[in-house]
Amino acid sequence: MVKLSSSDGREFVVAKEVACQSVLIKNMLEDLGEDSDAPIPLPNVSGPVLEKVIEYATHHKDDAPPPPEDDSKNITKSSEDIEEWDKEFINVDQGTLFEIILAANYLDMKGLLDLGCKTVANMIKGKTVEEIRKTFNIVNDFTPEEEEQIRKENEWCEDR
Amino acid sequence: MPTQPQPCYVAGLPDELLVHVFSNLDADEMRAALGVCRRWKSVISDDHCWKLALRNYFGSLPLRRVAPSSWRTEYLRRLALARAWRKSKQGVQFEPRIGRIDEIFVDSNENRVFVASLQKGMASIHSSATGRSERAAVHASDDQSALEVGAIKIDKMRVAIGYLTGQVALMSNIRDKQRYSRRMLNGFHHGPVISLAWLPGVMSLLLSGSVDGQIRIWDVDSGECVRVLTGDDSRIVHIAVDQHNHVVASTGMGNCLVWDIDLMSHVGSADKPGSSQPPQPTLAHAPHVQPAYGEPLKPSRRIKCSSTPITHFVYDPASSCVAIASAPEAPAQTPGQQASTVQLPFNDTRVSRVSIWNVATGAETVSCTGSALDFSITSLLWDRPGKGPSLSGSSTLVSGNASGSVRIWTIPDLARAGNVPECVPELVKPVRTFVSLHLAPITALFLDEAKLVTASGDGKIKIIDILTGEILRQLAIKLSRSPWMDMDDESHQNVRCLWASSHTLIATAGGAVKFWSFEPGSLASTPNKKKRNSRGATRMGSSSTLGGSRAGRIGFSREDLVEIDDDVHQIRREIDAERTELAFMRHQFREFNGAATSDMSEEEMLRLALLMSADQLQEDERRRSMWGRALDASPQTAPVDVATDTANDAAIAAALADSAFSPPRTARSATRPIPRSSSSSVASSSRAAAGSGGASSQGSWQRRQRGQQPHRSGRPADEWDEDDDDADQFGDSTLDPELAQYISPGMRGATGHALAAYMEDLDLDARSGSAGSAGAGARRRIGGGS
Repeated sequence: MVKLSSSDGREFVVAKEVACQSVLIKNMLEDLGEDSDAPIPLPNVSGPVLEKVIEYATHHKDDAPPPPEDDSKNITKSSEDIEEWDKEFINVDQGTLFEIILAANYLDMKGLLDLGCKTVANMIKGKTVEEIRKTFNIVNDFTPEEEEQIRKENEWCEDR
Repeated sequence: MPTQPQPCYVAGLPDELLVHVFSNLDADEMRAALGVCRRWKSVISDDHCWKLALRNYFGSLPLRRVAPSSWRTEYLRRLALARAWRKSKQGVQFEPRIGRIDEIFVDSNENRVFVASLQKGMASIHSSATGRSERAAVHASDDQSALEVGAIKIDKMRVAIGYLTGQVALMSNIRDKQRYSRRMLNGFHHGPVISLAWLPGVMSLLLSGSVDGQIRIWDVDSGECVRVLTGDDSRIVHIAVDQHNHVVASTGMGNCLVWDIDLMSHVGSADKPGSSQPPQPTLAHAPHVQPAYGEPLKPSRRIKCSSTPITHFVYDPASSCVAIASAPEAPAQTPGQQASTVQLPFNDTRVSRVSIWNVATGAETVSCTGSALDFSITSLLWDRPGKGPSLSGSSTLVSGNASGSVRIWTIPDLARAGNVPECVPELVKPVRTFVSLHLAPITALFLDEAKLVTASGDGKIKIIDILTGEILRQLAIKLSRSPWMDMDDESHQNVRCLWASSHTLIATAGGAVKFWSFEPGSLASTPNKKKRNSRGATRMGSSSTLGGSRAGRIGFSREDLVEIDDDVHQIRREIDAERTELAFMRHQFREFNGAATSDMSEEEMLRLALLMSADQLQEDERRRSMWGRALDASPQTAPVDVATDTANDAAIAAALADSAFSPPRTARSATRPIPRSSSSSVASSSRAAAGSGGASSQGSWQRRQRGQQPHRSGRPADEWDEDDDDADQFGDSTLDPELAQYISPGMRGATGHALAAYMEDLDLDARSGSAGSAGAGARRRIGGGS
């Protein structure tokens, strides 16, 4: 069993194979050695987010390890096919979603990171520029001239 | 009430995570995201984002780039290419009428296609955009002494021909009528010439390989043989030369033979490889040529690649490596391709070997595994020779086998592997396998950065996205039933040559060449106009080639006469066969009719019909396995119609007759295989009749042909759709009004008289309608020329 400590001081006790889904924790454990009882501090992850992350890791603990990164033939699934459980899991408010993504990035959990990014991508898909801005509360910082420029470029792309 | 602005969470993501998010978008969505804000724009403008997006979208990164400069362009161009190839475009099909096409050479810069046929020993040049013949068909031999051709090799400037008599000739300037010349080289092989080779850009050098096991090196300028190479006494199947002074040949004994010979010392020193200017026609280098070529040179290395003959051979001069596929290691099997096509893969333990050998060291560098089910490799392609290694040094090897499966291997960096001479061959597994992609053996392959094109023995072509493995497009060449085609020969459906560029595809099957242009924006071609042009030009072309033997404007060339004669014989044979078939049907019908009407209730009759159709089904199954899959289903349908016709005369319900009357026919054809082939020729003749029926008055017989029409030369064929294959193939029931132009009822002068004489020769009493129109078919061909 491994003890994890979140940024707000909460401690979580999880099975080793669950914790080791995070490459960061796995490496830390290897560095610390087997017989360390000290909790692993995770200062970048808050308690509620870590809870979610552990929920994800527990569900996916029996998954096959991700194939080694290989640029030439790494076949990733397209963003449409997210598993039903994952879909339910990631159905959270935007604040939590982006925190999960950041945590997954920090903990180096490829599966969770992919899931989070795909979810965000799905929020972008099929929307107009204005709709995207509204979804993410992004302020349009383009000058009208720049917008015209972008519109022209896109038209040119369309023609090809 | 002023609302508190919502926090923008997405702004909290670092750039690399934004890239990760955007890589899940497709191109259009990325374009939309580009306009959201400055930060997003700068992130998406990063090429790495496009690289990841490409990998996510296509499933893998390409081995070879379409646009090496930027991933964004790469992505967009691949999308555009895939879209273009998916878009429905009609192909333009035409027939150069030079026999079965065995060799094509595409000059993409000048949009020319050179096609050549071993069967008739002819070559012609066409525009790849329109299919129009640019230059008359040229003959490989004199009109007086037709020599049979065993090998032909085409280049932009020249055509080399190896004859079955052992002689070798070179034709130059075939594009130019005035400067065209054919030169027979002095000396000959002691057996048919079956392979030819030269170095690109070196005009004076030609190598020929023969069944006698020798290779001759020719100095083309002097026309002399400068050196003889001897091998292992078996036939020289392939030859390749490179600029490292290697001559590589594969033999019928499964050996790869290598001679280290300084080729350039044997031929004129004026044109070293790399010098682009054509050789000067001077005699300056004549003294260098030894009049006697001295002792035959024995191979420097003998590489035992296989215990069976090498069937496919791809030499890469840059790495001095050769990819070979051998015939399956056969334990005393029925020889010939026929046997292997009907053999089921799991019954067959024979295995074709696909491997790559370094000819400089004689070592096997790569062995391709995963071919255990490949009982016979029928096609092999390696992209390294043409394109060089990819950026990572690897290359792609593609094989197609007799069961229609295609395998793709990624060959590792050969420069690395070659450095260790004694290394064990590296085993490579296929990165992608398409099992039974085609229903017939794979006969041709083409690969470029974006797509793989496969073609099979049934005239079908598939275009596959090399990254996703998705089939983008399926096309087909429809085969004409030209009289000069041997109908019993099923191999005429084979797609023999395949060539593609980014937006065009050229394929040949039998005597037909078909072009597709997938150029975006270009309007669909106007096939009707082209048809007229291509036929007219070809016809005129071949007549002017034979200028010497032509008497006048309307006179016959020897070629024409032979063709008419052949046609007439063919028609006569077909009519005879048809008549016997019909007589047999009548006989069968009478027998059945007697049995059926005497004392059977309607129910019993129906049961009998069902029984017989079940029999027929079994019989059909059996016959199909006998005749192989490549057989077109069409030749079997027409005679059934004849049966129906007869049955109608006796006023039996059509449905009953249809099912009940085909069994006797199939039963007979199964017991006597020879008549079956004749029945297929009946079918072809009757369909030929239906095709040309527009001009002559036709009986009801023609109309009952269910709209079966042969594909006429020059006519654009519809794209093949897998779902309703047959319907599509014969769906065109209306007669082409344009065709009538080519059937000139009033023939002029000598042509008309000679034809009339030929036509009178035919005994046409029973089938005046069909024979008349078949005759019209023959007349049509001649009519075009006069």
